[in-house]
Amino acid sequence: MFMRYLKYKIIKTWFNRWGKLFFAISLSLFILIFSYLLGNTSFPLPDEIGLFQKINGWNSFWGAQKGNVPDSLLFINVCYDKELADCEENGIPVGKYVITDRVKLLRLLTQAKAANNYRYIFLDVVFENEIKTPVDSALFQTITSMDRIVIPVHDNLELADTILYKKAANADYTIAWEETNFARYQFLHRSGQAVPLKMYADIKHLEGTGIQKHCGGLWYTDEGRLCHNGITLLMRVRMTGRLMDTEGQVRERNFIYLGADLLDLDSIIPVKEQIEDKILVVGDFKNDVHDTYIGPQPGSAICINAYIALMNGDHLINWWCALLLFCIYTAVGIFYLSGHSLINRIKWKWLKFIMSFASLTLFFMVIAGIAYLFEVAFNIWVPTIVYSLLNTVVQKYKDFNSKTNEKTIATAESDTGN
Amino acid sequence: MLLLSLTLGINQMKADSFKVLFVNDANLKYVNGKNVKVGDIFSNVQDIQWEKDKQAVKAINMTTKKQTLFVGKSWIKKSGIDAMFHHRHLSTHDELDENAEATIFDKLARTFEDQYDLLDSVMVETQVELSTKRYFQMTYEYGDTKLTKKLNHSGKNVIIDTSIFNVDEEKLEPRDVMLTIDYINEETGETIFVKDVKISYIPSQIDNDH
Repeated sequence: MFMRYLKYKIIKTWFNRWGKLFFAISLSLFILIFSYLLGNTSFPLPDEIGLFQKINGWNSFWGAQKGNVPDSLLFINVCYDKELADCEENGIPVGKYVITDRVKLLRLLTQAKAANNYRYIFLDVVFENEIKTPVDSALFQTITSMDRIVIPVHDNLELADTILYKKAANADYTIAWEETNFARYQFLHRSGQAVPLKMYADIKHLEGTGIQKHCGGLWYTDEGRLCHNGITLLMRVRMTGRLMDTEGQVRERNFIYLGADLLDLDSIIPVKEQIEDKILVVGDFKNDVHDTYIGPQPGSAICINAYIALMNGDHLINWWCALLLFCIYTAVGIFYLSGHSLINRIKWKWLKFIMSFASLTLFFMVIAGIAYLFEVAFNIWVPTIVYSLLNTVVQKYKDFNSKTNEKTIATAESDTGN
Repeated sequence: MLLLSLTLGINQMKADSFKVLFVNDANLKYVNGKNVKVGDIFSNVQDIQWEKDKQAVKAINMTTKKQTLFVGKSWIKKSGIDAMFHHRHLSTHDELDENAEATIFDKLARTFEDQYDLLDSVMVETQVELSTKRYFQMTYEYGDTKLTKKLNHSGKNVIIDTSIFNVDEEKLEPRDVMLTIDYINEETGETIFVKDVKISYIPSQIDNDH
């Protein structure tokens, strides 16, 4: 009996001293690994971009919200360069359809190919199978014969010519019922590379798809470094209307129009001069618009932001950051396992009152806010859920223990009285 | 370090030159009195003698190869309280830039609802020009016959009423129909499809004989 009691005491003491630490460390590792696995999926997490929206709102309030397009990018808008094309369904003509003017696209690509001084071309125009024009053959041959060019393809969409597939990459993203705006970008899809990944792999002359999948998608590497396959995308390049900023007398333009500002001005400023050493992004920035945390943005700009994120190494695991998070998670774990509560620790009444409106979410939101300043997207969903659950379980266990003790004391007192 | 960066930045700005691509006012002049022409090179917005607010010059920065707009007036951008509130449009139009001038297609797309209940006259406000040569035309099927008719208008309002069932001096029994509405410009010979609109006819008096 004594030996059993001694054993129990030793285990309890060991748990109090080392067990909490061990459990907190295990929990930290679990959160880090689970967040990594969850982050590799295409599905956005709840409130993935909620904090970014708030920060963006404050930036607007302070007037710090401006468009910014680096000099290396040339956005070319084709929203006013349209033509009517014959449209077919299952090989049967069904009428006319408004498409991007393919003659103008051919003119641009022919001049770009001849100059061959551009950095890369993202031709964000879909060439669907059902639509045919007289210049298709010449256009598709030009596209496939060019270096450093990518065109988009979507799941369940057939391109107009099979030769286009060698220059095509996926341009889809996933939304969820709790996050209907664009939030998360996945680089390697089931159907292959996404547009930004193809650009990244081509420009960096990487072998294969750039990012390598392991164990059926359990983890991913980029040139041997552990990386994410999906990231919460920070919108570093943002378009705010046609002009970067509508203040002052000199206003830089976010984009130019294909016909009016590029092809038609060839005699004044040759196309080859305008495209020199630029990444050309050709798309319809008026109609192909998606909701993001900074407001509506063209789909092409989202893809370019994903490309910039890859070039910036946002997808690579930052071990220092992981270590810092591990320490924070462990500290929070020990704090809650010891039966403490944030609000009970506060002595000042007024601060306690304020903190009663806050919660663990606030703590992680502060961390996410600090991370945002360093251009790191930190999702608070997993740690908040885990530690809220832990806090609830520990507090309930503590209440149960204190009630049991009260009962025991009351029984003992009544026995003594008798 | 900061001063050095600022100095370099200012020098960079000073070094920039701009090539004129477009001028919207032929009378726009430089401060030296010469006219601003396409193909000219200038280096500063102050080189131009701005006289009117709406004067504008489109130019390309020869260093960065980025196109830039020079205008005669400084606008104040939206910030502070104004940036906290936004108006949302509950209609389908995908304009990225709210300040952009609406095209005829944009204006037509915003004109009609999907469905109207025809109890009496429906007045639909439009943003397009209406005259004897510019009007809306509707087509609908009545039994086996396809009927086409001009829609009446009053000023900038199009009128949809039971007269749409008066064809060739014959009064047809009003009923639920699907109208295909086109905008006709006889001057240019242009016909623009606007929308298919469902008309639900509601009689002004219900026949209770049955």
